[in-house]
Amino acid sequence: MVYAVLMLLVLLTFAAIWRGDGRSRAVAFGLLAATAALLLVHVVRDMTTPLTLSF
Amino acid sequence: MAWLLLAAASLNVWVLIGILAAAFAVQLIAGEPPCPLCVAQRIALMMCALGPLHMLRGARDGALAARDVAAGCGITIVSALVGAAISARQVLLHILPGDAGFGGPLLGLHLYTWCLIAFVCQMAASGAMLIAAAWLKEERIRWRFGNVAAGGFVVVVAANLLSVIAEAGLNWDLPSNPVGYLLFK
Repeated sequence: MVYAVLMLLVLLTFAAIWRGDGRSRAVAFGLLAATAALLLVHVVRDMTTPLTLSF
Repeated sequence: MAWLLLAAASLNVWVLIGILAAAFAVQLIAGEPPCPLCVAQRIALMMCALGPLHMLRGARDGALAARDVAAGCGITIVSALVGAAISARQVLLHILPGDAGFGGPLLGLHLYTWCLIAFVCQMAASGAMLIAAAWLKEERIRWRFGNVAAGGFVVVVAANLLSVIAEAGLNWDLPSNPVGYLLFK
């Protein structure tokens, strides 16, 4: 489910980008930063927990 | 220069959609459900596409501005860095001699190695677009292909979203070595 949440965040970011006004743009950058941070945290967790998340 | 940057942005989105569709085809045709790191790389590829889509959106209603190019390329470079870190992690997991790697190779390289190459190329392409933006004149240009690219992007992300829900079932994480779709078991 964590990946579904991340993909949903990508879709929400796209929606905010496509809306296009100044406020949506700020929301889009915030969502993008949150998605990138969550993805990085996930990979770091993978690196520090040997062979549990990745094959 | 504006039309050249918009053409490059459209092409960039379609290349990323093509990579995601090809990965999806390998998943369905070869029967290889993606591992957790493979899905993470797909998400990074989707994030990369948000950069050129930002540029296309900027040009949809008015003129393409240098700030749209800068923000779009910034989004792509940051996303590609995240993706490259994930790909490099997976390449390093399988770097020891005798390790067969995860999944079948494509043209001699595994998909995660191709992903690493794609992320590096993405960073280079974004750098080239940033350089080209120095010659950008803010002229009004009609660019209708952006909507088609955006539609293709939404379809491929939605398909991946459904696929990952089917693969993970009701579990928070994916199994390390997935062999099927947990939602249907």
